[in-house]
Amino acid sequence: MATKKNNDRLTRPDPAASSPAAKTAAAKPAAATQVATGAEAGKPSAKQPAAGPANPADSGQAALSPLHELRRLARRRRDRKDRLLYGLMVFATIVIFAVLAWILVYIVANGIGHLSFDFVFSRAENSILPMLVTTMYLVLVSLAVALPIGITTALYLNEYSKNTRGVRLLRLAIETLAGIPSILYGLFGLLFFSRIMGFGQSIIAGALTLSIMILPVIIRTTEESLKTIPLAFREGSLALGTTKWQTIRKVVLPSALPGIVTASILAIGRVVGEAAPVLLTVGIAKNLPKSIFQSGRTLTIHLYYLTKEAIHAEDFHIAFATATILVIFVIIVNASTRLIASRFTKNMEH
Amino acid sequence: MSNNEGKFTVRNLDLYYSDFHALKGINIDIADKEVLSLIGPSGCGKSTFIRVLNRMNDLIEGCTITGTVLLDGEDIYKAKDASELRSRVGMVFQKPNPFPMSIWENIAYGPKMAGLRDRKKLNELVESSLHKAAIWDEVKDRLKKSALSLSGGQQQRLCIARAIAMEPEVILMDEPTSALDPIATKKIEELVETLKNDYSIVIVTHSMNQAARISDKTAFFLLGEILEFGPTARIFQNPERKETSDYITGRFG
Repeated sequence: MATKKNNDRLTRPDPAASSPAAKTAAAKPAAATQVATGAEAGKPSAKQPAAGPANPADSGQAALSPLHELRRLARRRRDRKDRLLYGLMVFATIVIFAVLAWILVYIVANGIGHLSFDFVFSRAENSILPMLVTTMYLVLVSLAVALPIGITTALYLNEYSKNTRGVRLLRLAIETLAGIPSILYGLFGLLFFSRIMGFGQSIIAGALTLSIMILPVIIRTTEESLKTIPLAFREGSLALGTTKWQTIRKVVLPSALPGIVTASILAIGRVVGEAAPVLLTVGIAKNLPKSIFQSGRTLTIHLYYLTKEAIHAEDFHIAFATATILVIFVIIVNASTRLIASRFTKNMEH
Repeated sequence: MSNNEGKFTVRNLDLYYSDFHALKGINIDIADKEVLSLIGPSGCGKSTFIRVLNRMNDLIEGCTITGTVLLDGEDIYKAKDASELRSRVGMVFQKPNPFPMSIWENIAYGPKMAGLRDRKKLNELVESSLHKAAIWDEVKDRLKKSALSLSGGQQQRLCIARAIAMEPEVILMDEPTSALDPIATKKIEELVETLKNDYSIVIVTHSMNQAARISDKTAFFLLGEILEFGPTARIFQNPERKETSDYITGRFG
């Protein structure tokens, strides 16, 4: 549109087409057509004189043609760029989906032959029931430890603390915790929880270790969601003579619930996927853990051993079957967390 | 003796936000069962002043207050905890701010937090509060619906009902109709007329007509000071200060 209007305006004073005034007039409204101005300035000798002779002869149409031609070329170049970029985006999207689909299909296709009810739930020799149970315990206990501490810390940081040196230090500590490689947590857990506190290699030692590891994720995600709750809610509640804690408990926390759920899901993902610290603190015992004070083997660690020790094609299939269960486990845990949260939110709003 | 019938007595009040001197030497008596309107250009300290009366400024970091504010002869800044004061001095905000809960829960929230557990009494309280706020007929069939489903004007009356449910003595209103259309505004104004039989009301407003229509007394704020204070009719018909007359006739502000 802009280009067309511009053309019309330039048509009338045709000798002025090459004057600087006309050039700036052309350049300004057609800001999008930078290519055009560039071409105009870049090679005036090549194109303009070529079309130039036509100018005085045929005033209306001829004056239009050189600029018009330039613009048309520029537009075509721009359109080509647009199409190229769009194509790239489509390509990137397809790649992402394809990679995910490929991994999932590859895992499931290789593992499905070995999947059976007995493989997952029986107490037979090569059943993965113990690993499922260990993983479940590990997730539950680390969340049970980290969620209360993380949410309380986020509440303190966002609702109570002032910007003092101590608080800045605390924030720095949280940021630093988030950046530490997980193997260091493993070493610390092995030394502190397993040795000094005497838990040995056990689910509780691993869960305590992992709960420190997931604390930063929980604190930060919860704090972000606390920040989005309007001040008007807090003021409205306090103005009714409620205490600060009542306001937090009844108005702030329920509104922050979706964020807390996101925090939990991210944390679960890390606990399930972690290998190095789990190997060091939980151990590799293959039997069904009777309590959280015993050693166990998580699905991820089991998968590692299965693959490492695989010799026959058969062994690989067992590994892939385990991986399939791991994927399903993560999907189920995430879905149920969301479901519980949406139940809460509904109660709150109706 | 006039001190005794006064609800609030404010003497030599100064308020600072860090370095900014927001209120300067405020002296005012707010009588019982009267409507006081606070007028003045934006940023002159009206809202800051009503937030002094229920200690809402406590929430703001770096806010310091000197002077005395008495409610029924007692210094409201003596108590460590402001919640007892706030249950006696209710507040309605500029933008309606119902909680994301049901209509019933919104009204019952304050009394519940204050310790009222009896379901029957709560039900009665919810109904009577909604009646007093002139919104009962509009919401009686959907008390369990979300309060966020109401229109802006209804939400503001719900917030007034929420304040009334605490059975306060004073209601502070910070530009309660600035976000509402004329019809909803009229309803709120009518409501204020009836509420003043039971409560003292302090209302911040930018509408001269509103101040003239509904208030008994008017205080004109300018740059953190009360420039003029008196019966509304006198202030509007015969202002003593040139600034007041300039402001109410719309020459500045």
